[in-house]
Amino acid sequence: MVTLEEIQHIARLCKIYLSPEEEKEMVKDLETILSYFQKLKELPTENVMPALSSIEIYNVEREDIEKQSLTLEKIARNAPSFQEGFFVVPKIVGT
Amino acid sequence: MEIYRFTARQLSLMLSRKEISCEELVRLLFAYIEKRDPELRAFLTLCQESALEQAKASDLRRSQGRSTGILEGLPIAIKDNICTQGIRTTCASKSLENFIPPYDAHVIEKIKEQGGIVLGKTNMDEFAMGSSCENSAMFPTLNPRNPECIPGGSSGGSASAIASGMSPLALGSDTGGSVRQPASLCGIVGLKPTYGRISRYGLIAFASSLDQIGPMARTVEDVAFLLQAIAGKDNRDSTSLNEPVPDYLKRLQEFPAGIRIGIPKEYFFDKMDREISSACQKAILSLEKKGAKIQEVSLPSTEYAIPTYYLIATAEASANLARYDGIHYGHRTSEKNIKEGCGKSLDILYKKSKGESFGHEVKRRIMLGTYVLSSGYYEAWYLKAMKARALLRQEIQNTLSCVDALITPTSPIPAFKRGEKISDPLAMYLCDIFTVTFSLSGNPAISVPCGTNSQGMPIGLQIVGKFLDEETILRLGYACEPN
Repeated sequence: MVTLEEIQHIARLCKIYLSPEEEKEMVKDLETILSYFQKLKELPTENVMPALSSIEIYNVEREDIEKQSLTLEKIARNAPSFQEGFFVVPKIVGT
Repeated sequence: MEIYRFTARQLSLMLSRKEISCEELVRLLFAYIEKRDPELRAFLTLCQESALEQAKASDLRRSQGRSTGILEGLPIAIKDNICTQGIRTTCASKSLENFIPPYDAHVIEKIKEQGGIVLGKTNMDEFAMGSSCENSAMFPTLNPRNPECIPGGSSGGSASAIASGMSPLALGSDTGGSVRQPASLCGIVGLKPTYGRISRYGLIAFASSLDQIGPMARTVEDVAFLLQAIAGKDNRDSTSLNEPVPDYLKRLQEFPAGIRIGIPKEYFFDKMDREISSACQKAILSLEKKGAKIQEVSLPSTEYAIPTYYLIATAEASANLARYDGIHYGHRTSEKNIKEGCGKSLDILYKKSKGESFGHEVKRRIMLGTYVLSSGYYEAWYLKAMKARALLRQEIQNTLSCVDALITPTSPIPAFKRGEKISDPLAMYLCDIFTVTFSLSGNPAISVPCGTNSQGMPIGLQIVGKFLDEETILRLGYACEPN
């Protein structure tokens, strides 16, 4: 059972603004989807190692060599607000 | 000249025999796109100017005997979640509406190196989340076979562009079926290669352990051709596999005599669409006549594939999409909203920027993914799904040690009418029932057309291969084509 409080909590965790109508719809949608997904609980998985991926690749290493990367100017071009080499964010310390 | 009728291989020959110049080819295609795309709306961005420049450069290279590679002069449409330097790449989302990548994806570098020409960027479900192309924040794309129907998704723009003849080649991306399902619904060929066969560098991430770029075209030969051009190891994607890339075209026309094909009984259930089931059976029979050994197999965990897939994909998406925070790139909410945040302005910036720019399905998946990863639910949902994935993978690898390939329908239903499922997320998720299993296991899978239903809508056959054995499924796919 998915509750409105849970939806509000999850929206806070993922930092997405939802309108009150969207919150209500989310309760209904997640409830429908997760009830169908309950089926998965039938599947016995004791002593099964979880699979993070479809391939077994671990610790891919490379030489630590200095390389030219994108320039600041190129990166800044897509930033909503960029000044003197910094991404600008609202003031976050007390006023 | 009816340029839209030719396959990439035919065009390649015509170019090399100088029957047509690349510039002429590109001009003719754009004239055709101008005619068809206003109705079908397969493209989000058209690159006429740069394509013509590239075409002229290709003609010059050819005249000087400096042709660079197998794609020389061939036009390609690119799904709009693959980064193209200097060309807007939106993921069909308001959040990336004005995003211009400062670099090319690995596959785009490969295409350019080999002389390919980027025609434009194709429409998709926002962030590749959807099975109908209706979740595009820009506009829906139509199915060329019947404009009242959806083209499938999420690579619906690429599929529609290929099926209508606006492009001979296209790239899509497949997380749970997003290349195969639209290929099936539009009556074209689409391949999801083995996970790791193609570098994901520059593919905007949805679910990183499942995403794969895949070639789409009207013939298996063209798909093999495009795969050849883009497959291989790339150090910038640590999951790309360091395995030799075979010559996919060499033995394409040779039928793999004596091949053992497994038909998983769970994929031909009683209540299934009869026309789809019988078209697939017919294709299987024709392969048997050519010398394939057909046997029934069982994949009993199939019924758990949809929950497993959606739990893992949404969990990964919730992490991947956290980056659209309105700070580094993408949409940022208005200064007015931020100022009103008094003391909580950074929080407001994050929340409003995402809330305003993500569509409903994207929000739903981020919410679901965050839910299943959150404290108290992680073990019951996400960890459970990862264990189920291990079981599913084991089951498929065991089955594929007894047979050489598996055959199933690609989609349980043909292309449906626009608006039919958009308000029912679960019904939409169930469209992926035949494709997600092989995304979870990482096996290569191709969808090839195997007929049409009584309404004239295409039906697709899915052929699944062993790990890194694209060669066999391409050969089987080739054998299914009317030659």
